[in-house]
This record gives sequence, structure tokens and C-alpha cells, in this order.
Amino acid sequence: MLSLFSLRKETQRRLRRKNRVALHHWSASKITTGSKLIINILKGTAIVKATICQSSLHSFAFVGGLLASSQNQLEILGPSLGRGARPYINSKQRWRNRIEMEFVSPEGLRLDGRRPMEMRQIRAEIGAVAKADGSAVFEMGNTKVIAAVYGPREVQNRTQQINDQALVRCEYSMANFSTGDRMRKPKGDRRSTEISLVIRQTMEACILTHLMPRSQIDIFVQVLQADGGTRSACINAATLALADAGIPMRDLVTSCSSGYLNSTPLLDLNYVEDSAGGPDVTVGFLPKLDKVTLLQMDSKLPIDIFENVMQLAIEGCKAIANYIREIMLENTKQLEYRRGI
Amino acid sequence: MLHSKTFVKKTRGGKVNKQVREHYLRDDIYCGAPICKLCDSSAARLSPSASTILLLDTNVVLNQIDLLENPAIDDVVMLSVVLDEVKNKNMGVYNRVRALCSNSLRRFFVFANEHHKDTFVKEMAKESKNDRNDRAIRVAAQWYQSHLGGAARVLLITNDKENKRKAIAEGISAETIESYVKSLDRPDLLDLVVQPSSEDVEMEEVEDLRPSKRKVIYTEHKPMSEITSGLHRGIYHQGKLRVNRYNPFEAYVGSESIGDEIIICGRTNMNRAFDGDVVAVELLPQDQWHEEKSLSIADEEDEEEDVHLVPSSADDAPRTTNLVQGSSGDTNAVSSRPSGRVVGIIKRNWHSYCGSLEPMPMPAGSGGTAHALFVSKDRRIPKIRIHTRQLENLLDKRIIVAVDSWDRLSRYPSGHYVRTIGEIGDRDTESEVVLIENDINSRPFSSQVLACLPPLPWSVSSEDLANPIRQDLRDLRVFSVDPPGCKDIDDALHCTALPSRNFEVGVHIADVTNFVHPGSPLDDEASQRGTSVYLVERRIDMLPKPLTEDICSLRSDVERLAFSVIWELTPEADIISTRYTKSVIKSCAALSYIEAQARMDDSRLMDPLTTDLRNMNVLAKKMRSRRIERGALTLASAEVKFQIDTETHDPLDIGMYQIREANQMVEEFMLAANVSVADKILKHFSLCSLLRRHPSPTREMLEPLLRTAAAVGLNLDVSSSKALVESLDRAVGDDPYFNKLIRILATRCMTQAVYFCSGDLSPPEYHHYGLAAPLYTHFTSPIRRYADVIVHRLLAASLGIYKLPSIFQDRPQLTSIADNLNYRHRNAQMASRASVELHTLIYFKKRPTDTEARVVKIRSNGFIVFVPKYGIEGPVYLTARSEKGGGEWFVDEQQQKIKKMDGSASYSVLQTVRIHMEVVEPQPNRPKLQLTLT
Repeated sequence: MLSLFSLRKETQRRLRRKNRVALHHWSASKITTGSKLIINILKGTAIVKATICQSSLHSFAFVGGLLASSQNQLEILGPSLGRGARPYINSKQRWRNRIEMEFVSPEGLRLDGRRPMEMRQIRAEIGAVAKADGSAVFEMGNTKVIAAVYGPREVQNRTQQINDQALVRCEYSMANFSTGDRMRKPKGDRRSTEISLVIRQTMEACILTHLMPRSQIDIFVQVLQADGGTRSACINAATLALADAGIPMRDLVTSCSSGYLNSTPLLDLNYVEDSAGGPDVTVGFLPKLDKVTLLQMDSKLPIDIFENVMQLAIEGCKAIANYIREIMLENTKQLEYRRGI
Repeated sequence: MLHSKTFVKKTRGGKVNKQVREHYLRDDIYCGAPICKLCDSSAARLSPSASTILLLDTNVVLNQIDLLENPAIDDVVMLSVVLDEVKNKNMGVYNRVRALCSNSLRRFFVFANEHHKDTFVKEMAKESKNDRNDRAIRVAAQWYQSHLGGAARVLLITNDKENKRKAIAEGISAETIESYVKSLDRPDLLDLVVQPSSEDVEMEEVEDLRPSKRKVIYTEHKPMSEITSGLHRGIYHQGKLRVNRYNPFEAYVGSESIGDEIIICGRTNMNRAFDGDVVAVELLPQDQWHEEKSLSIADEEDEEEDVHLVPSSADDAPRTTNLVQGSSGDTNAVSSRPSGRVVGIIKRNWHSYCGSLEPMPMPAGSGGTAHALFVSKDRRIPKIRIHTRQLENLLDKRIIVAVDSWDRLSRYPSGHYVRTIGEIGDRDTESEVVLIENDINSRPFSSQVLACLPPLPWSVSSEDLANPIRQDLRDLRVFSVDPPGCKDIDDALHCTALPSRNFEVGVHIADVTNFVHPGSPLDDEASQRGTSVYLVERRIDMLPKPLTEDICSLRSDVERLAFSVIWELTPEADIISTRYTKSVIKSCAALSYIEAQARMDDSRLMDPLTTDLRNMNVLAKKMRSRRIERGALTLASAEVKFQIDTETHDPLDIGMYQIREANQMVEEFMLAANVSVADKILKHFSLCSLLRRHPSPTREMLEPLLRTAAAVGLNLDVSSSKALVESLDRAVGDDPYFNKLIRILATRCMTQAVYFCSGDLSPPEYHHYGLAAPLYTHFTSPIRRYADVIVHRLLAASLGIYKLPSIFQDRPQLTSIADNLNYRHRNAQMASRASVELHTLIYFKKRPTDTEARVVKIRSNGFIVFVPKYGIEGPVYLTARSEKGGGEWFVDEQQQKIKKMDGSASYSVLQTVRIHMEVVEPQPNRPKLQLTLT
């Protein structure tokens, strides 16, 4: 029988070699990554700390890093009770530390110096892509997106044609350089597909599609610089580009996000606040009609607080709508000026 | 109002990567001085008449926090750059500064200079972060100076030589903290000033009093980079250092990388680490591993074991390192546990400590200042060297001292005086010490908390009665049974015989959550306190007195709101149905245990209340026997009861707490209610219920019990709780006390039960070992335990009465509440024990006593006895301490015996001995209880 100690030595030696061993039998439900297990080694039973990881085909146990060659067959007898689960507590504490991070100082200033109800600086520009029928750049702080609209035009793929309304298509992508450090995955990943769908549905709800049957409207949005709230910025940019393209709409749909951190509702989360893991509510809003067309939330909130947070996001949408209107007015003035009226 | 300006800021994480953050500069940040005419002064915190406004440098805040907490320092502007730096360096100090800033009695103003358009400074080329921050502080100081004009003097306080020089060059008045305190002309404050240890000194040279000792005592701590790489390569092991409560020269580091505890022996190996520090440990070569001998009672010169109360569980008991005997019997082959030494300290756990100064002669003519050694009450803490100007005042006082640094050239850490508590030996002072040591908040409730109370006098209103969720149970014959003199009655019972020969039994618990609303200041305060603390002479309430003693207390003959659990029980005490409801009750009698017992025993009494009591007792006995059959432990504790003189509060008599049938009856129904409620809440909220579990003891933990039992020829089966119960029942010796003694020893091997959040563990781990119940929680004492308040809310939510407060959706927060409750609960127990110990000492001061005691543990120079009558435990020395290791006595490890070499005398474990108890004062003002053989 291996004594506990020599096993430990053994483990340490193996640790340097880094090999891993498939488990023959395993009751996965009780075992989580990093839990302590009782493991049968050869004939002796010993308690060792094992790290469990699961690949698509096999489950592996890393015992104290690794264990055993193929002769050392492992059998997990069950999670060890009592002194176990220490690594788990550690990860929980790490989580708690993140939760307890101070996102709003007692003086009422956020990390970037805004107050809870303040939005980042917004800036918009119409007509960034000359070739497109309509285009716009929209910035919310360091988040910068560009949108281009083609259409209404003939449907490219006849099978998709709808006889009584226009087909709206949307493609969202993030520029590879948008986040700075990491290369993004190629387009078509799940996140982009989801956001594409969200933007499409939001825009479809405000475009008067029945006025343009058997035609197609393409909306391309690309994130040039990402710093949280890309979804909202994309919707705002798309609205401006649609307006620029002269596509008939019910209203100018605008979007803004809000969150809830340190028991305070916060407007327009930036990347740091967004990655805190707290609730993040994104609202799409038709200001004239006073209707919500998009509502999404990560994490969870009690219903009464949620209402406050959503109301805050709606206020943000209204402010953005005012700004967008101003920009459009200015743009129209410019056009008038160019025509010499 | 949004004056914004975007620009880039680079930060470096673990990897070198550029990060861009927005940084908005504002024009709506005000200076906080009410005299200012330009700013909005509605949020001003500084005093209108302040002649001097202080701006503090980071090093001052970090090192002099004790001084800042003194009310003499006020009108302080805290710059946000300073707060950020403090937060990065020391979270503990940061929290204290934040508390100061939010304290309405203090005038500390936080100025967000980093976001003010005029005081923000951009990092210059080749400027270090530190220099940039120093510059930011100076810029802010200059801004204040010009902003306030001549209305107030702005003084920058810094201990950084360079910073001070530059500040003066820039026309800012700057001083060191010491010269500032001197200018205040308050000599007592000077003791609070921490002597700087590093090179940024600017004070007069502290002359070294012990030049001969100027040699290296401890090895240097490894630099952090080396520690990290060492941890990676597995050479070092990280863990929290825990010092043996009963032997400060021995410590343990629980290491995950080794999966076991590493023993650290001696101060040299501990290398300046304190209890609770996170340290990096290097294993010693195996031939230096600690050889496990039965440790002698006292290990080194001036340390010795005190008489103390009997530990009630393994958590309190002295740690003994057990040699796990190999089954082959070859003791040499089995290695002892790994030993190691500390190579570096990853995180310090320094805080302030309670204690007194070591008696010393007054030094002659050292200009009023003196070095003194401080001895902490907590034996795990080494002596601390402090520098004081008021030595004669402090010598016979209990004081609080904070640690500042521990140089490797000095034997003891150096610290500074924080405040005085009172005279040593004075009962109030010592009680205060007990409270401070256990981190118990005994301050009166704040006005915000008291504002949450319903208006007095309070009575059940018609709205309460009309409320459909509240059942009117006033016509039931409800009564309460509690200890005599109990004012916070949180439980009451009723028992009605039903026509079907079944019984309806109800447990009615004070409806505290009707008054304590989630999120209110009252709730926050209660959740912080966690539990009421019962000391011998006083009680520290969790809830304000009107709630505790009146509104919630289920007193007799008044209508009260309750939360009821009502069962229908068969005569065999099987539960047929369970019902939970909020209710209004009217208790008809508040009995004490003695009264209830007397009623049940008095066969002449046939009134309905007595019949109810008897019925309940019969049911309770059946429930109890069933529970014991399942394997619930009936463990014994050596709880004692004091009789206190009402005038002087001195203890008059002391005796074992007597447990009657009535106690057991009430206990049984409370257990049943708790179990029923645990079932109910877990069914509805499987992830966020607050339950209580008791882990099964491991064989290792039961080892001391088994060894003792084996020595007296008793074979205990500890394979399961049921087996243990049965073998404990069989353990009947020739004297009546034997069984109880074995049970007491068994109790102390167990860990304590703990609260936990059900989502954190898997269902098999919910088990309560001691009660042999798969589920258990606390429901029955919401007046004195916060856990019960939480459980009340859960139960109400599961019945659909209230919504579940949002906190329950946040598992990490719920877990932290459970952790806090465990911590508070444990501290409350420690405080009660300490209070009993204190009163035991006071009691025996005037009454030296001879009594009978039992040997419970053998040591190489004596043995430890347990005194059943007074519930205390302490050492009896066979060899005088001066002739250490006299070799006259010989310990038989196997037999647990200590014999004289010539065979004339021997003592074995569990043997009865006569001892003499007396309070002695080996050093003035430090009385202790001494046990000697008669």
C-alpha cells in the first residue's frame, strides 16, 4: 500500500513530467473542476487533490497536476468530504472581490469620472461611406462604429424575396483591430450572428417595409473600436445611416444600455463596467411613439430595481434621439447649403 | 455640466498591453469648505471656522491611520489619488479611512482631484507613477491654497523628504506629521505617531537602546518575484499561517499544494510571520522534521499554559499533533508531518491588539520617552516593542497597540500605542477587552437604527388582526418555557389534544421580520452583529432593546405577533401534517424550566396547562428516543452557571448548569420545528436557503479520544455517529461520572456546526452529524440570531407571504452573510467563555479551594486536569519550571501514564486527583489561577 506521503512524493515527481490519464469510471455530477477526490491508485486508496477537466471525448483527471502512466488506473470513488473544496472557495472569493469592486465611489463618481446618470460623450457623423446609399459613424466614448446601408434595391437571392414587404438584412462585424490586444474570431461567430439578428429585428420594427415590397435593404455595421455598449452604438449608427439613405421609418429608433453596480443604476456602461458581470440592460426605443422595441439583459435583477434600470436606459435613448435629430438637422442644413438654397 | 475631455491612459496588467480608458474631467467638483464663495457648499464637510486645512500624503495615511482616527485630527481633505494609492497598498487601512470620511462626526472631505479639471496632472515623460502622484498631491494643495485665498491655511502633511522639499519650493506650506503633532501641543498624541522605519525619515534619529543586540536574528524575506516563481516551481508552498493557540512557538500552514498542514516550529522558522498572515513556506529537509514527542505543557521560557474553560468543541481545543501510528507498529518508519520555515510573507494580517505592558522599572532620565514591551492577551501574538512618553500611565492599564514593522534585526516587532481601555484587573476593563478581542460591537445602536423601530408603546393593531396572512390563534393555550429571568422570549408552545386522539402541537416564534425589514439600517446592523452575545454579567443585543424585550418578546398575557409551525402528531409522535403560518398569539404563562418541571412532577396538579405540559413531555420523549436511535449524539458539555451579586456584580456561586426534562422537552420541539422549516425552505429555494450543517469528524480528529479510551481499556467504535452513540452508551465505568467525562472528551473532538448557503454544497454535505438529521437550520430564535431572521424571510417567501428580498438572488453575498454569521457566532461563544473565565478568576480570588479533578491529558512535565465542579481545565506541574526536564518523571505514551522514575507515584489518564485551586499573582496585576496537587 502506498502511504499517503510517498504518494505525494510520487505526485510531485509526476507533476514535473506532465502526463495525464483518462478516467475509467466517473460520476460526473458531483465532481467539479478542482474538487478533491478519493482516488483508487493501484490497490491502495488515498486522498489526493485532483483537478478535473473534461475534453469533448474523454474526461481527464489531473492529480496534483498529473498522475500516472497508463498502468496506474484511476478510479474515482467519490468526492472527498470534509476538508475538500478549498479551491472552490478560493474561486468564489475571487468572484466576490470582483463584485465588491468599487465602480461608484462614495462621492458618486464612476471610474471614468462620470456620475451614475451620465452618458459618455457621443458624436455622430453622416455620410462616411460615399458609395453606400446611406452611412454614418457613431461614437459613444471610445466605442466607435460605422454603418452603411444599401437599398432599397432588387433582391439578390430571388428565393428570399417577400412579396408584400421589403427584406431587411443586417451584418454585424467587429474590426480585428477594434479591441486592441486580441484578434477576433472570423465573422459568423455566435456572438456576431446574435447581434446581427438583434439589430435586424430592431431596425425591421421601425422601417416601413410594406412600402417597399420585393426589395432588399442591407445594413452593414462594423465596430471600429470597442469599449462596451457596441450593440447600442450599432443600432444608433444604423438608424442614422437608414435616415441618410432616405428609407421610410416610423420613428428614429435609438438604443442605450444601463446597468446596476454597487447598488446604483448606471447609464451607458463602458467596457470595465460591462465586464464586472453585473446586470446589463440594453433597450431599443422609439421616442416619438414612446415604445420599446428591444430589451435585453444579462445577469438578473429583482423586478422593481429592473424597472428603474430600464427607465434609466429609456432616458438615455431619449437623449440620444435628441442628439441624432440635431445631427440630422445640421446635415440637412449642409445639404441645403451645398445646393445653394 | 458635463465638461468632458477624452484622452488615453496606459495601464499595465500582467502582460504589457496598452489600454485606453476614458477619463472625464469635470468642473462640478467642489472644495468642501463652507467658507468658499465659489463652490456649492451644500455637501461641504469641513468646519466653517477651520483655520488650517490638512492635506495628507499617501505615506501619512498608510502609516498613521491610528492617529487620524483620533478626533484631534480634523478638517482633513482626502485626495482621491491618495485614496487610490492606499487602496492598492492596504485594503484594511483604506476601509478605515473610508469609515472616517463617511463618519458625520468627523470633518474629512474627499476631494476627487483626479477628475477635477484644474487639479488633474498628466504623467510626464520619464516620470514614475509615484512622482506623478506626488506631483498631483502638490498641485491639489496649490489649487486649494489659491482657491481659498487667505481664508484658511492649507497645510500639506508628508513624511516624504523629497515631496516636502518640492512643496516648499513651490510655495506650499508642508510639514511632517511629527512636527505637526508637536505643534498641536498634545503629548498623548505623540504616542500614536508611528516611527518611520524606512529611509523616508525626517525625524530625529531614534537612538538604539540595545546596541549589543544589533545583529541579524531573522533571515531576510525573499523578494516577491522569487516567491512567485518558487510557488510555480513547487519549491515554496503558500498558505495561511495559524499559530497554535496554546503554544505560540508552533504554527501550521495549511497548504493546498501539499494537501496537508506544514508545521512551523519556533520563532526563527516563523520568521516574523503573524497569525493569519498568508505566507510562503519552504519545506525543511526530512531529517529536520519535527519529531513528535508528547509536548510538554509549557515550551519556552516565559510561556505557560493557563487555566481555562473546558473547550466545547474541537475548534476551541488546544491543537495537539497526533502521531498516526502505523498499523505494523513500526513507529520509526512512519514519518512525522512535514516541517517547514517561512521564506516570505505574501499578505500581512496585522491589526491592533489588546494587552498590557510588561512590567519594567521606570527608565531614568530618557527625556520622557521610553521603550516598553507590550504583551498581548492573545497568546499567539509575540511581544511588541512600543515607544511611549507616558509609561507611568500605561503600566497598569489595558491598552491597544498596533504593529508597524518587524525589522529582521530586532527580536520583537515594533508598534505604537493606540488607546487605553482601563485598569488591569478591573472587571469592566477586562470585559471590554473580551469584547474587543472578539470583535464584538457593543456600541449603542445608532439613531438611524432606532428610527426603524415602531412607535412605543406598541400593541397588536386591528390591521394586523385583519391581515389575511395572519391567523388568529389568541384562543389557544400558548405558553413559553425559558431559563429563569429570560426577557427575550422568542419561542412559545401549545399542545391540544384532538378528538382523533392525535395531538396538535404548535411552536410559535416571535415574528421579528415583521419589524426588521430587509435593507433597512436596522437589518444591516443586525446582520453585522449576527448574534446576541451573552456575557456573565450582561447581554449585548443584536436588536435594540424595545424589540428584544418588549415588541418581539412573547411575554405572557399580551398579544404578540408570531410565526407558527403547527403539526398534527400521533400519540406515537409521528408527524401527520405540518402547517406554517403567521399568527397572533396570547401567551398564558411564561414559565421557567424549574417551574415547568415542578408542574409536571407535581402529581396533584391537574389543570389544563399542566396536562399540556405532560402530553408534550411524553411526545418529546418519544421523539427524542427516535432521534437517538437514528444516531443523534447526546454529548455533554461542562457548562457552568454563576450566581451574580446584584449589587457588586461579583460572582457569588458557581455550579454546573443543570439540565432538566423540561429543557429537553422544549429543545426537542425546537429541533423538530427547525427540521420542518429546513425541509420547507429547501424545497422552495434549493439554491439559496440558509442551512446549518455539522461535518462528520474525521478519524484524525477523534484520535485523542480513542487514545484516551484505549488507555482505560475502552473500545470505541467511531465508524458512524450511530456506532459512536452506542459505544458511548456502553462506556460505563465504575464511577458515575466516567460516562459523562468520556462524552465531554468526545464533544471536544467534534468541529462546530456551521451555517452555509445551500447552493454552495451538494445535498449529502448538508448532513448534521450531531443531530443525525439530513437537513437542519435555525428558525427558533430570531431575536438573538440573525440566521433565524433570514430563515423567517425564506419561509415567508415560500408561503407566498412576502417576496424574497433581492439579496437571496446573489449567491456570493449570501455566502458572505453565512460566513459572517459563523464568524460572529464563534466570536460570541469565545467571548462568553472568556467572560466565564474572567468571573471564575474573580470568584477564586477570595476563595482558595480544594476539590476533585480528573486527569485528561498527560504531558512530559505534568498533566492537565479537568475540574468537573467548575468546568475548568488547567495544567498541574509535577516538575517545577526551573528544573526543566528533571528526568524524574517518565511518560508512558501507550498507557497514557506518567510515572516517577523510582515508581513511587504514577498518574494515569482519567484518574481522580485532589487539587488545590488558588489565585496567585506571579507578576503584579497579572493574577492567574494555579492548580497544585494536595
